[in-house]
Amino acid sequence: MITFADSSPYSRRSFLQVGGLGLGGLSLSQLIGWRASAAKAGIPLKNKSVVFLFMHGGPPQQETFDPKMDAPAEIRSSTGEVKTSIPGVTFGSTFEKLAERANRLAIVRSYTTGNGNHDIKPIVGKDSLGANIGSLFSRIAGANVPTTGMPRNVALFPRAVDADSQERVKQFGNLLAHGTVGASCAPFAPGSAKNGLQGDMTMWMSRQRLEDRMYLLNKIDNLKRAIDNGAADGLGELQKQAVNMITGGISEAFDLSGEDPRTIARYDTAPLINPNSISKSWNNHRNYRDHGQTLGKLMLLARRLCERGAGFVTVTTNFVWDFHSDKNNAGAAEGMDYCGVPFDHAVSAFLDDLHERGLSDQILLVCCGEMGRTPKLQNNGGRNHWGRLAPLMLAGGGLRMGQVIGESSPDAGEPASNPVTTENLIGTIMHTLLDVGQVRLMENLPRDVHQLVTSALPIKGLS
Amino acid sequence: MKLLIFPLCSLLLVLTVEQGTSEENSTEETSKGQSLIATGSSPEETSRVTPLRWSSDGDITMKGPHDLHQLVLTSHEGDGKKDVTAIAGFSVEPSGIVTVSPTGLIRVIGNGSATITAEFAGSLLSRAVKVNQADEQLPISFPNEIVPIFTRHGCNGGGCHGKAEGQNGFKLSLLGYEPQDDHGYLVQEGLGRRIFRASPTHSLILLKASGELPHQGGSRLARSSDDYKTIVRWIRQGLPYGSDGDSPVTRISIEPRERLTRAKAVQQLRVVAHFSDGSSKDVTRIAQYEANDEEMAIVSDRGLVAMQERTGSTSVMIRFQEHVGVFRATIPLGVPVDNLPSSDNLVDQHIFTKLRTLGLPPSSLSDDSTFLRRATIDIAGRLPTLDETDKFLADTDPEKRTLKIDQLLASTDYADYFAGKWAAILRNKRTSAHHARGSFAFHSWIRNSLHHNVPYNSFVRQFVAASGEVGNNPPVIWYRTVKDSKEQLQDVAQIFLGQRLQCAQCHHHPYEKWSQDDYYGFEAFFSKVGRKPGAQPGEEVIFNKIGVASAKNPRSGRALPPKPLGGKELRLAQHHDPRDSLADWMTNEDNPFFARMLVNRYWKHFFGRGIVDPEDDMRVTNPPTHPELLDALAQSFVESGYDLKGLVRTICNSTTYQLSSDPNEFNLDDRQNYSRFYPRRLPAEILLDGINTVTNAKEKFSGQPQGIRAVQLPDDQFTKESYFLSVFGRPDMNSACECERADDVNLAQALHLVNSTNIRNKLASDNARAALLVKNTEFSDEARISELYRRAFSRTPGPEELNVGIRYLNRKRTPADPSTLSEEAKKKQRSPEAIAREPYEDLIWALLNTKEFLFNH
Repeated sequence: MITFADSSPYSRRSFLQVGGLGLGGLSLSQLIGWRASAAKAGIPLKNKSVVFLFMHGGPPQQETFDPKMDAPAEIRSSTGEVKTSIPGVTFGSTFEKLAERANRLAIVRSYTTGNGNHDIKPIVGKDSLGANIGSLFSRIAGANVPTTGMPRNVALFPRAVDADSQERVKQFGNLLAHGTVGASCAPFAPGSAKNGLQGDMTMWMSRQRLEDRMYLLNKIDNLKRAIDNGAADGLGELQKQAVNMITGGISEAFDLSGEDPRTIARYDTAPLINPNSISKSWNNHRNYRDHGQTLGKLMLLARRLCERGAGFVTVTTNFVWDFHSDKNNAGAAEGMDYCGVPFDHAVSAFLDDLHERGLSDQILLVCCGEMGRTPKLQNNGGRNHWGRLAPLMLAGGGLRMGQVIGESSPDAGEPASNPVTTENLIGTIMHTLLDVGQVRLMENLPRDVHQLVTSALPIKGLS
Repeated sequence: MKLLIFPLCSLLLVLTVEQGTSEENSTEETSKGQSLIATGSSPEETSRVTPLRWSSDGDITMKGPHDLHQLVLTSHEGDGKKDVTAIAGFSVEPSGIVTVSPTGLIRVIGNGSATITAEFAGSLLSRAVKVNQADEQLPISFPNEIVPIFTRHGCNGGGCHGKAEGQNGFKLSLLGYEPQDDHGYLVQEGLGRRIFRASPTHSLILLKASGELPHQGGSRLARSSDDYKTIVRWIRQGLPYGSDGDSPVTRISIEPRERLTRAKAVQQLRVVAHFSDGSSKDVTRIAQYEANDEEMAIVSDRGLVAMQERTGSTSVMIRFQEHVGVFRATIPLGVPVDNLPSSDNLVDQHIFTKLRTLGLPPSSLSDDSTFLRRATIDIAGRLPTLDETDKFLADTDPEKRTLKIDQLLASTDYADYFAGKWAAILRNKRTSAHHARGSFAFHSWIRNSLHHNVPYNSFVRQFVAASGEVGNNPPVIWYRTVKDSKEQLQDVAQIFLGQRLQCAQCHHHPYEKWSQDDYYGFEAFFSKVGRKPGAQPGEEVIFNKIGVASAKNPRSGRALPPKPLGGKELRLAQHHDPRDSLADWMTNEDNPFFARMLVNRYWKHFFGRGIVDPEDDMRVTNPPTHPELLDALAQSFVESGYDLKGLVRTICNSTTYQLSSDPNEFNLDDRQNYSRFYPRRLPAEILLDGINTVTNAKEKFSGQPQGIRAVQLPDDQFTKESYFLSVFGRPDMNSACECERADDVNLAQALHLVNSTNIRNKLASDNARAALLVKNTEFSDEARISELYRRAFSRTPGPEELNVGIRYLNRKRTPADPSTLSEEAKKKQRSPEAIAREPYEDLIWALLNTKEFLFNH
């Protein structure tokens, strides 16, 4: 049935009646318009977006935003430090460009993820009801922007910009999880195959003909409702979403060739790391390659999608921040060369671009991994898993920037003040995206989602 | 006769336990128990016919001051049984020997003999109890008594101290499978800082576990709990590990093992550990419990199961050390089931019995169209042709369904479809251009075996013990993709035995009985697989190397000889191929895994859910929904001489398989009792082929004959080649698990069917169905629509459906009045041919996007 959200004023029955007047009665586009105004009235959106750059593997504290150069040699940053634009605050020396832009960042030095397991808990975990945070947002805001069909919740993996990169890493958790809020709220993950998804989003028939076809399909389906249970339940909803996307003309949103080549060049991190210079002795060398080749473009794509209405964009490369110095992974210093350098560049380009476009306050960037790393450097230069402190960086979103929130213990091992949890992070994200006071008044939300969004306290000192 | 009964008190206790939140204070419990002790139960009273039964018979013997015994008391009421343990009154005569708590837990007070009498609703039942050594401190066995405490409280779980690197410096073996190591970690590691022998309660281990010192894992052990006290006693006794004389536990038993019960009812369980010396011990209070489905039943840490509102069957897993037991509860819906036909089909007998027990009426029998479409899809991997549909619907032979099943099995389509299924899990991959000869040959070997219905045992033997080269023995190709002996053992165990051994490579499998010795003993079967270059590039000769078959367990450093799972180590001659012995063991008719795995795999193929699900994870902790059916199917399969087609016949001829998917008012939520057919999306290949037959399109695949159907494709290459196949989930054949095939519906699929140029070309080409239909001017619209319905759904359209179609066609065929069009629009005017064709394209498009088409229902 062509309705465009759960709360559409057009029930199946009423639309059938409308349809019964003949196809000239009320067009699909009119319905879409209707729905859009309903959305404005009902959903307390702040019209902001969040880009969550997930540093999968668990980045170290010292080599990123908390160098501890006064600590003993085995504690302090193995890459040294660099002064930032905030007096008295330094970063690990890899982050030269970010250091210059520190006045546009908020660094949290007291963030804990709770345990040192490889998973994806800041973004999908028990704090987020087993769903990607974006899926919860989608459940509240609607899966697609009504006027364009743009999915509100998108996840970008290296394949979205580079067909040669590896398939996304799945064994540590499903970043496309939707928990109990429904498959239609799951992150939309674009691919890069030419004849694949993007092609299917490009409408080739007339809008009128697509409308006619959908009308006919629903008529036929309705005469045989018995299959409408179990596995088939989601299909009708997905077909509606598909039509929304096609008629909204959003396929161009996923196509970077619509960007000025100079902009692409500015973001691109591929020239920074020559894949041949990555030591093949690490089993994960292909992951480092994917990270360098794609991170810049992924950030550009994220910006492009936010401009077109995406509300929550998950960005991650292929599991690179696991600096053990074991068979699979490089140690902290070498790892920062492979991972930190592209990160520094891509995030800086992103921030500059937002600044120039006047979007800094409209888009919140969040960067963290699933944990931190052991305060003590091992003899082989690796750092192991650490659940009691993890790096967290935020930028923009209209929050107060140019500050360090919380202090860490002298060994960067645990929070010394103002401990921040994933629940706080989710609070900050939800308060950025939504007028939470109004969400409180929304009916028809699952109780656990309602509870989570309205009770998660944002990180103190940011707003 | 004087009895004191405190129903209110018991009720409160049940409520507390149900919520599972409050840590019961054991001293308080004892005092309650003492207050219940009454005197004067006479043997005559209890000997009269009573509806009460204990869960096990015989006298109770208890040993030592800390022994516990859980009573389970059942009241037989008509056909039903009701657990009354928590609502009965217990009395003990004489006093001073034992106490019985309101929940039926016996604690020791002193030596001697006593009689326990239970009273419920005016009926009595007695039982003798004898206590020895009540004044002696019996030595504590670390593996049997202390380690289970860590398991039970989650200390040694994979997310905590049990993970490889431990937690904050303190490590325990995962789920306590290496008690020797655990003893060392606790007693010696960290300079002994975890234990304070002079003052046991000040031991770090207890201060942390009880939350007296900050503990990231929180407060786990109340100071008043039995578990806490046991650890204190163990420290007092001087941290013994236990003597060599301590017998290991050989198995655990659960009382009762299953129960037909009601929503909201409770059931107390009793768990007994049996030792190798024949002795046994009640471990109800130290075993670990886990409910399979908390919507149906929850379980407390003392083994009290509380049924919830939902009806159906569920189970509770009980673990003690590496031993696992299961309690199964069935909560009937209780609707009279009187619409079951009589059937001598094996499947129906078991499924119907369960439906009757559950009081869950099944849906009616499917109509002929639905049956034909379903069976043709499931057996032959395609939609019925127009001709087949018309003939079958017109056929009046009462045996026509059985005949159709035979016909489908005899066709090569059956072999095509099932060869694809097997090729995927046997990982028929082509990773270089040189591999094509091999992957094609392997596929064709599988296909031939299936077509000629080679007995399954011999099919598996030829493949597991394959030697030679692809030219004369194609199954050696498996050894090309699956190179490593560890992968070989894991794949064979998973595909043919339903045992997932991966975890046991590094540690004792947490949910299974398999140890590292089992793993490496199994690996030894593959330790002599030799390779040398074959006749052509990219090919190899597989042979048996001369030598001693063995694999090293890196933990113990021991080189292990081949050992079947659960069997004895084999000593094999140096020239003997251990894989032959493996095949002997696997295909022996007494093998507990082999036939069950296969029938379960095939069951899932036809019903969308395994009797054990996932179908290839047949560990004890993943129990079957219909164990008797699984056994009976496996037995019948063995007796048939491993006849695969025979198995398909048995399944497809059952009424169960032929039930309608339309739910009745009771069975919409049923997902595991087969009271109706569960619809599922068509697999990628069948869907693509189906779209092609409906639209009269042909697919091209590189290196394959024109017109080959997707279901016939031999190896993994074509998943990469075809976006359609990959987006609808055809596997890349990277794993031995059928779960690699995605069967969900997602947005990318919806987009592809709604809007892809791929589908557009199939609909709009000059040879497409729409064009053909229009060309044939003899046919009316009714006849054309009817043909489309028969092609897509194997049924004729209803009058309303015809109406919808005809109205649509007529409306779309009316060309716009030229006078109303702008000049530009006039230029765009469609040709008369397009005007005739396009509405049919739309109609076919719509049929292809219906649930009825996309699903096997």
